Amino acid sequence: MLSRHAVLPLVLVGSMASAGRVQAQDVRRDAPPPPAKAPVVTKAPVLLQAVAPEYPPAALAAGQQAQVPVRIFIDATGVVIKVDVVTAQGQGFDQAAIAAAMQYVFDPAEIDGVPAPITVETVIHFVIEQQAVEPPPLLPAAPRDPEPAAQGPASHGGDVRKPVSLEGELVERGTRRQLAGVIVSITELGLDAITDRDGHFWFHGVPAGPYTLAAVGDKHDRLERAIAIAAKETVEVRLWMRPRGGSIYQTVVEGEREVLEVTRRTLQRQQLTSVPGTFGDPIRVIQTLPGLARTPFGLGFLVIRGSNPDDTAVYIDGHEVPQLFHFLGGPSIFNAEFLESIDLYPGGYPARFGRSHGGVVSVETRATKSDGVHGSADVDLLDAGGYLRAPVTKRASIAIAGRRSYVDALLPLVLPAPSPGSTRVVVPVYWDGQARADWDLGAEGKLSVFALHSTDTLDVLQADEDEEESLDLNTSVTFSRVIGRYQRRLAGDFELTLSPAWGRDTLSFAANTAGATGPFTGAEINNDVLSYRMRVKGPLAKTLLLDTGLDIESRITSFDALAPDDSGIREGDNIDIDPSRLFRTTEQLSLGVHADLAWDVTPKLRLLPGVRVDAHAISGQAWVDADLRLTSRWQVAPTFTAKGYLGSFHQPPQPESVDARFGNPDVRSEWAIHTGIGGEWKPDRLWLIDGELYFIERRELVVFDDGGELEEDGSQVDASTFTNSGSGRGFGFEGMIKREISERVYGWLSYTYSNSTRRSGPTSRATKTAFDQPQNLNAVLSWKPGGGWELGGRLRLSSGRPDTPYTGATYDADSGGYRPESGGFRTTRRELFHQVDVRVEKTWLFQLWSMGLYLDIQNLFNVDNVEAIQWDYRYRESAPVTGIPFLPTIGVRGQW
Amino acid sequence: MTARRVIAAGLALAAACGSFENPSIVIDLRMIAMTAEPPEQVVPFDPSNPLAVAFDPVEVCALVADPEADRELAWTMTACSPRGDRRCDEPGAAMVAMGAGVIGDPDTASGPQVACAVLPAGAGLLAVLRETIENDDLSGFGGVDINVGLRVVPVGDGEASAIYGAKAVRFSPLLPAERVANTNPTLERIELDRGDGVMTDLPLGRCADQAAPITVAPLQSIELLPVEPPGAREAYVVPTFEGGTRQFTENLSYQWLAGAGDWTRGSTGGSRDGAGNQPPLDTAWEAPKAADVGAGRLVPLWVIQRDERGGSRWFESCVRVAP
Repeated sequence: MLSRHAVLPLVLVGSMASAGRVQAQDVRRDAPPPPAKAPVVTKAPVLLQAVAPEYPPAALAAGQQAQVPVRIFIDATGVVIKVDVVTAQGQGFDQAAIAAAMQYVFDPAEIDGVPAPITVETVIHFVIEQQAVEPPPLLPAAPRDPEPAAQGPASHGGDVRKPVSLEGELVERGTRRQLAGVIVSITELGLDAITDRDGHFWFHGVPAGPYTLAAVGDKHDRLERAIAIAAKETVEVRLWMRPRGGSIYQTVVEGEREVLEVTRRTLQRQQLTSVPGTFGDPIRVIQTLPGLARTPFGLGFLVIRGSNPDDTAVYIDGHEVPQLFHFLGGPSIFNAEFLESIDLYPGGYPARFGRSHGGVVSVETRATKSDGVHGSADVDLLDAGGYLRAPVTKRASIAIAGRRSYVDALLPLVLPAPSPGSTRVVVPVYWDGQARADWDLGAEGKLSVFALHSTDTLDVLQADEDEEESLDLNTSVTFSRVIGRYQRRLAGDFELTLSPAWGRDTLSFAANTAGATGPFTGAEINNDVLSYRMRVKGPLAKTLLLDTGLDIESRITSFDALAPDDSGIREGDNIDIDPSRLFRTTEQLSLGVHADLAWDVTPKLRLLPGVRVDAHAISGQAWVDADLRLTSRWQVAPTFTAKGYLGSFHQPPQPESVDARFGNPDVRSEWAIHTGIGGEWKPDRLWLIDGELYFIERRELVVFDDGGELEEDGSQVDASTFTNSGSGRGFGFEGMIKREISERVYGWLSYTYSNSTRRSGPTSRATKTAFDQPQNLNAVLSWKPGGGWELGGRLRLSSGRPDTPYTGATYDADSGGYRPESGGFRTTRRELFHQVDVRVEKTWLFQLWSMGLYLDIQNLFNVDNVEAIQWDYRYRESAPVTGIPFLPTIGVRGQW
Repeated sequence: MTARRVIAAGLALAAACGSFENPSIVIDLRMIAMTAEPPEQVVPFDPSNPLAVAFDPVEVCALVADPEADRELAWTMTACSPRGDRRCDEPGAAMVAMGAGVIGDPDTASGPQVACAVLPAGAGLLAVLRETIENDDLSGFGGVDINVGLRVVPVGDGEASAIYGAKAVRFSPLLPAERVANTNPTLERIELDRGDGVMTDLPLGRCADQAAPITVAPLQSIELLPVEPPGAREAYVVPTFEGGTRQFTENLSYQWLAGAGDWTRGSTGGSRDGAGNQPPLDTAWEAPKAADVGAGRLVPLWVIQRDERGGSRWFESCVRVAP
């Protein structure tokens, strides 16, 4: 029979799964829940029908008895969809218990008042005296008192008319995170309470005596603790639950295809920090998803479906930023603690994203909380970072984070002194910092400010003072953003978001002889950006949802250069010209309005038309772009959904290419048409198989045209150097087989077939794009054997990049060098790239904090992958430039 | 992690570069230099008929080295519009066959073995100029370069043994009026320092033509400094897009080649680098090690002097390396 006291303790898995889905959906369909609110179990599931299991004949004949603990997964309708045996008993007891439990029927649980899937745990007893197992009593348990107990909030167990005998708090070991929605039971009495959003629970009227307090969570080890309750006293307890597997670093695999946007893939916060080869950087994980090409030397370019990296827009909280990674293959500019989610849109994205025709990467930052002081720190051989958050008031909190590399300080200690005339070693130095403040205004909404700064510099590590030719190099790339956001509910379940932002991007370069008082050559390019977004979303009708808004971006770019200016000279080659200062500014103002509509034509068919109109005023030129987009999803079967999209996407040119002096005022926006069709098959909750065919046509691409035009009198030359004469085309297939997170294993296999070409003019030959990679496969597998260990591996296979062979060279007597003779521009391909990365991590949990130690090894088998080809001076011999060798990295991180 | 990637790439690149032959050491059949006389012609400009001018013939000469063989070399020289690979073999293009011939072994034959041909000032040149001007972004207003392609192949060998070179010959309009045609640069001498602080002149001439070349020990270094005569660096004017002029002074560069050994700098002179450093003119040559010279070895040295306007001149010398 079922234990009388096994009151089907609820666990958090059901509520977390539901919350994740709500976050992933577009609010055009679902009323937007406040993202910071933790889901709360407001009603436990009630067993309506139990079935007695078959006693295993062999065990019965042998006189064996057993108690089989089982975990029961219940869907939102109360149907049992899966049963796991927690501790196997063998002798056929496990199978019998599963078979019986699969036939149970429940009144479903409710989370935040809505029926929701949930998981419960109980024990099925096999007792010989009864010859069979009694069916469990229907829940909730029958009251023992002669008169019914008064029911209070779910977080209060027992008769709330009686005084509190026991009160407590449930927190997670290592993080001190308060655990909401977990049932705590006094097993001897069958009394239950569900922890509230702060992890608290109370029991009323408990008689004096010894008891066992139990708490069970799907993501935590079962907790039992003996307590003693005295008469007329209130006992206070704090229960520490240990994360299952002993690791607080969750490795939930998402790569999720969203219900509305056909090609959105989402990574959630605290996911994927353990993917091998990414150094624990979750943002790098997007490079293993379908649609992205591999970039050489681990450079962080976002090459999506054959587009140029510049054609992909990166947003942080809805505002575009110039880069997502520190340059030359550095880590992301973001501390993972500030990361809420990353959405990758390889194509066919919603109308709220505009001004790019490649892909979109949208990063959402994480709100801070007033739940105590928490932090984390990471240290490895090359950089160190930290994060700290703290409450200011009960409704306001702040968080800060920062990271700094120190390879510039360590390398001189291990590198040999340079030989005369040798190349100096130049290494990047990077640092970044973030800060965020949140205010909960209650019914008036929420307010937040997020600030971000990133700096990359190049340092000369070794300068030979005896060299006649000295060099003092100063190069840096910095950008800053301050993003405000105000969100509140409007009438009719609409939600309003207002978000202004300020930013500055600076690229500076200066070179001079060592000891000089000022630079000989240099340049500084500043982008001052002001942007503003307004977004309103909500239901227009039961089957109609609207997501609309506007976004404005103003950008002033100033160029301040000190360089030899040969622009006014007709024959400027090789002339030794004194540097002169050049200052120039360009302006861009873009106003975009957008609307997406989600229309449930039938319960299984959804159409999403979208429209976007952008007005541009760039370098004195003005024009309007308009885009129409249509997405559809059709649920063909309960486990299979077909999908497709068609839409246009405009991208304005860089302001300098429209500039009257340096560019062509006639240049206008590039544009592309995205089309795609595919399907998703989800046979069960753990597996997803996803495939998509796409075709992209790119038109009016801005290309550099070196053919100037001559005025009639010969005195003026039209310096038009940019034209909209380019075009491109891409098609391919993207597939993904994914195993969702379970207790111990996650993994996925992603595959991309891609073909992308470009033409510089209507009559020119189509050539492969620089990063064209027909085949690209990524396989990731991670396993938690327990005890705080996590082992992972990643396999990457991808086609080599296009290459240009040389068949000889001609000696150039005027320069002394050689001019290569091409055997065909990008007509060959480099060798197949293949690499295996592995990662081992061990986490120790302490009461108040945790510590993790990891070893991340790139290129485990030290494969010489060819990333570039080097030629001799006569183009007779070539040699490969190989990529990253066997590269182990050790790091440690703590969290409290 | 970032630095490691960069360093790894740099080391790999350095390793790859290290396996290649040294471009400053001539080990097989190779073009050393080409000169044009005159390198530039400035002609009165008639916008209505840019080609209605009288040109002078241009002589183009090439110096070839072939240290590992003792053989004759066949050559052909052709003028054409500077397109494609600059070998003047594009079908349908206007071109002038300037000449062909055979030279003796460049190292051992009696007397200098130089391939020379003349580009005549005739209809052929006009056709090439017309085609060049038609393909020029500025329609010839800034001057145009026509290309002289050279093919050299050992006598009796096929295409696989052929090497190619190209030299630009400049034709400029008389814009602005004070414009003067460029001339080839020259040197007064090349100073030699054997490390004893005594400066002497480096004897010029092929190894085959020098009775007593200077002698150095294996691995001994000699320092070389080109000494330019007064006025070697010409002042010149160029037109600007705005219709004005700007005046500059030539910078001269030097390319250093040898048949063996090594150079501290393979090229010297030229324009300032990005940091503003004035480039040094001197270099040092280190003799090959004893194992490579046996009882003694003659090593040819070449210096190619260039200005930035197509003017050039070569100088040959020889060093005996003996233990």
